[in-house]
This record gives sequence, C-alpha cells and structure tokens, in this order.
Amino acid sequence: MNNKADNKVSRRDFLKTSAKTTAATGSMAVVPGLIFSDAMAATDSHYDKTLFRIARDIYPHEILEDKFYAQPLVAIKESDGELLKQGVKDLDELAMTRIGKKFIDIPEESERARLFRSIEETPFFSKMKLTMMLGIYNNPEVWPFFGYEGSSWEKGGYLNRGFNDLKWL
Amino acid sequence: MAAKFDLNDNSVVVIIGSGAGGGTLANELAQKGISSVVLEAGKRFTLGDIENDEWKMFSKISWLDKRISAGGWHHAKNHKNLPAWIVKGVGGSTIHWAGVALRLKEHEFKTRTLNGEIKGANVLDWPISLSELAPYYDKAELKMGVTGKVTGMPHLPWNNGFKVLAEGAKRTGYKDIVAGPMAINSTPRDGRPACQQIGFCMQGCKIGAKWSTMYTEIPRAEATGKCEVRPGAMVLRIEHDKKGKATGVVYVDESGNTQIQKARIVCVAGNSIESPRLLLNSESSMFKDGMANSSGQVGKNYMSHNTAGVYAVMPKEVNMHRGTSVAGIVGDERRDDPTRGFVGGYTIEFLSLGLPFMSAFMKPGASGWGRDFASTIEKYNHMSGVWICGEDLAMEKNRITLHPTEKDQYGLPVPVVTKSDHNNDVVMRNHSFSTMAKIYKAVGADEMVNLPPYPASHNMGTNRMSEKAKDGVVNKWGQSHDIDNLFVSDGSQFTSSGSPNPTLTIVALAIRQADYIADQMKRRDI
Repeated sequence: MNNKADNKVSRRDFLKTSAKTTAATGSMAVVPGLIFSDAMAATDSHYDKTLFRIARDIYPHEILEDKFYAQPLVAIKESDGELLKQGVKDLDELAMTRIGKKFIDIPEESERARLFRSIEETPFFSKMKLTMMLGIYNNPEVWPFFGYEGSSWEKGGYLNRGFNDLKWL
Repeated sequence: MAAKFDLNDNSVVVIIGSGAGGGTLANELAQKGISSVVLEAGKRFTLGDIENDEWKMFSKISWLDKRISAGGWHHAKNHKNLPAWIVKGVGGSTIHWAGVALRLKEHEFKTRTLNGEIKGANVLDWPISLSELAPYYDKAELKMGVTGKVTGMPHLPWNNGFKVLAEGAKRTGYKDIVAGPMAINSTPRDGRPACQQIGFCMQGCKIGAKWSTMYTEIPRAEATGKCEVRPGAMVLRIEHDKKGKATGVVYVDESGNTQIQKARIVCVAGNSIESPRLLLNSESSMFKDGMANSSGQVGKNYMSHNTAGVYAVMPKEVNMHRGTSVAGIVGDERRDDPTRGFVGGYTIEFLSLGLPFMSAFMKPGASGWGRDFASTIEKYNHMSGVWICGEDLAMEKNRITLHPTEKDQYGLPVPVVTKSDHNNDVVMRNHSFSTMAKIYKAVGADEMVNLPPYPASHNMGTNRMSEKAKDGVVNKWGQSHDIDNLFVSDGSQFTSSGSPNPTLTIVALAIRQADYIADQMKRRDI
C-alpha cells in the first residue's frame, strides 16, 4: 500500500508546489536546526544569503526575526540542494541580464519582486514559497506575532476566554 | 455488541460509506431490526485523534487517494489532485463538516419549473417537494441536535467574527441574521456536551458537541447488535446476477485481502465522487456503461456549490479564530429573485480560518506572495470573513469520469473531476462580492480580500433523483431506476444543490430511505 506517498503528493498539490512537507508540522525548532539557522542568517556565503533574501522577500514581515526565515531553509537545503543551487544560479543570471547585478545586490524590494513574477511558476520558486508558507505561518512560535492563538481545547476553548469580547462596533 | 456477519450471509443490507448518508442509514435500519454491514474505506478515529491543528488534521483525516481536477475551474491549476476536501474515516465528512443545518427552500426543489430550460445547464425538478421532506427534516434535526424551534435548543451565542458580519448586514438592510441552525449543542443534549467555543470545527470537534456519525449513529447502530462496521474496506465493484439484481460487493479489506460480501440490498454512500465512480467501475457485459446507468447520467451533473470566500480587514481587533468556525448566517440572498441577474440564491456564512489555512487560501496559486500578501495577512487578527454557498446549476459536462490509463493503489481507474463555471455562477459570485463589500464597508472595513473556491467539501448530484428514469439515476427514494435492490444514500442523489450546506438534507433523505427500505423488505418487494 502506498498511501503514505499518495498523501504527500496530494498535499503538495493542494499547495500547488513540488515541495516535500517535512517542515509542515510546525515543530521545526529543533536545537541543532536553530544553531545552524542562526549561522545561516549571519552567513557570508552568497548561496545562503541569496536563499535568505528570497525567503524574506516572499513573505516580508518586519515584525519577524531572521531566525524564523532561516529555520525552514535548513531542511530543504538538505533535501533539495540541487534544485536550490540551480535556482539561485538561474535567478542571478536573470538579474544580471535584466538589471546588471546579482540578485542580492539589487537594493529595491520592488525590483526583486519583478524578477520573482517571471519565475513564480518554476519548481524552485514553488519550493521556496511552500517551504516559507509552512515555515512561517504554520510555526506556533510565529503565531503570537499575528495574534493567532492555536490549539484551544486544552484551555477549555474560548467560552470564558474572549470569544465574544468585541466591544468596538 | 457489534454484530459479525458471514461473508456469505445474503440477508444483510450492505452500506458503502459511513458518513451523513451511510452512517445514518445504518443506524435507522438497525433501530428497526434490519441487519447491515457497513464497508468504510477509512479507518476508525477516536476523539483522542482530534487535534486543534489545521494541517495535522488535514493530513490525518482527508481523502487523499489520487484524484484529478480538470475543466475550467481554478482547481485544475491550483488544486490539481484535490478537487474535493472530504474525509476518509468512519464518520466520513461528518467529522469535517462545520455543522450548518439549513433546509432546502421550496423553490430549490423546482429549478426547472421556475426557470424553464437554462442554456448550458441540465436542471431538473426534484421528484419530491419540501412538504414531503419536512417531516424528515424534523426527524433529522431531533436526531442531530440542531439549534432552533424543532429541538427547542437555543442558537449558539454570537462570536466576535459573526458580530462584525451581523452588524454590517444589519446596517446594509439585511434581516435574516441568525447564529444557526447548527447541529452543535448549545446546551448538553443526548449524551454530548455543549459547545465550548473551541474553534477548529472543521478539524473534528474535540469534545463531540457537533453532530458526527463517528460518535452518534455508528456506535448506536453497533450497540443494537444489528450492524457490523468494517473499517479499511475499499469497495471495488458491485456484483449482480443474470437478472441484473445486485448480489453483493467485492472489496479489499484492512489486511489487503479481496473479499466478497453477499447482500440482499446494496446502498452506495461514498460521497459524490466515489459513488458514481463505483457504479461506473461496476460495468459488466450486462451493464456496459456501469450499473444503474441506463440514463447515461451516472457521474454527470456534478455540483459543488457556487462558492467563494471574502475576508475583510477591520480597523480593530476581531480575533475570528475564537469560537465556532461557522458562527452564523445571513440568509436574505437565499431567495428566488432572477431580477438580481442570476438563477437561485446564495447563503452568506461566517467562516473563520486559522492563520495556517489563511496563508494557503488567501491567494492560492503561484502569485500568492510578496508585500501586499504579507501586509494583509499581518492583520490576521483584524479579520472577519465569510464563505459564500450558492446554488450550483447541474451541467452534464461537469462530471466524474474514470481516467483511461491511470490507476490508484487498488488498481481502480483514478477519478477525474471535471468542472467549469456556468455564466450563472460568475454573475452570482460577483453579486456576492459586491454584497460583501457593502456589508463590511458598512462597519468600516479597511480592506477586502476575495478568495476563489476552496477544494469542495459539498459534492452533489452525480447520481441524481428524477421522476423519469431517462433523466436521472435514482427515484424519489434514492432507489436505482434500473435495479430495485440498489440504492444511493448520499448527496449524489441531489437533483439541485440549492443554497444550504447539504448534510441535513442527506440525513433527512437517509431517514426517509430507511423507512422505505424497511417497508419494501416487509412486502418482499426487494
């Protein structure tokens, strides 16, 4: 029975991407990953810097620290290294052709976003986008920044915790 | 004590599926002393398996066997292998449903009479009327515990997100603004607790306040000693004798072994993709186009409701995630009023999404990223939003077919779900967007986001009821026009989709069908 494999296929198509969903559980704050990802956020490597810049540009939230963008990248660097390396190389070539600079040397976010528009259907960009979608918005450590409170049953739901506390209307 | 029936016992009713249709039918028959074997493709879950986590529950309970989306709807691009969002498990999609328990309206039974032939559509009247179904709606509401007059149970209190919608609707002149009817206990009832405003209704109710066959009909049927539920049982085909009568079903059991269960009656309740798929897969030399398909309508007229989402960013905090997921309804646009430029009506239902699902559905597809996306979702806790549930016209080309070459893990052809908008859908959806803009602007919304349809949780019409055998698959009892002892017991019977969430109607039809089956058995007609 290949149920497990099928589940993965359907779920990633659900998100229209080709990524694996290992980062989907939101429990990615493993200690080795943290150390690794902190290093990555402060890296000198052009490859790491580019991935990190892309990650931030996909979902740019100034309210979030670098580690939240770096953490999800750790796992896919392991699992999808080739796709990512080629993607960074292609993006730099595109940036050179269009703007005459490498991607991370383009100062304007809107300029970088224009480049994204022309690669947003590629497996590389889809992979980055799904990884960051799950890495950011499905990460319980990030939820407080958005005012999302997550699991509630163990606290008795919101019956006595503000389900109808809106007074400003 | 759950029963145990022999594979060769040909006195049993075999029910395929254990959701709103199959689960209810099994219990209704069991209470009348009629024996059934329920074959459920999914496994058995307990309340312990339910978590308040959108993605974890999606992975755990969804029907994820391979399916292909085709046609003009955006699913063909953005949800390629997930046309529908339904459940594989004992209890079926009653684990996932939000609990909205609306009745069809009178006009929704008469789409053809009221509108005549609609170009590009294949609409038909139901062979039953609202007055015929009304007593069964009452029974369904009592069984499920639906808030409102029939049970006397008060509607649920308004949560923050619904307060915003309701106030906007009121200021826009709408009148039919109600926190129900919901099949969610507002007070303890029938051995189940009252709602604690947990949220996550669609991830399964952790405390069982919402009705689901998983912990009501199924265990009650089993307790009679007249029902055996076999989880992990995927039915491959229905067998028949030389006269064309159904004799049993071939299925793969939990251990992967192929079995044949004999039957006196077979009832198909696998939801509107699997049910027609099974009939089509049951082709034989006698039924070359599949079983019960002399009309050629099996798999056709697939309806998923004409849907959309709208989220408004309000000037102050809302915290819509607190409390019941679908906390209330604005019903005024459910009316029959072609002066709006479209046929049928739509229901406006408050619907909260958690942050994880909001990020996936706010702008599904390749372009959902960037500064605008981020700045909108950053205001997540200022949002209130709705799901639009509108009449979806039956169209022959919207249909379930079998893939010519691709097979699933059981060796069955993969189902292809083809759907495109009718122009009526486009006009209605745009009307709903402008309605929602008015409503939310009336309470000061800073920003509005319109969402395309989610993968369909409402799936209807692919084995539809019809007065005449040439127009549909089953008669007004859900009994096949072609084969007397073959029934359809799920939402695929629906002749029209109407504008209510389908579960209450599926349950009412199953209760009614159980009465009919019992009567027919007594008369020895089947």
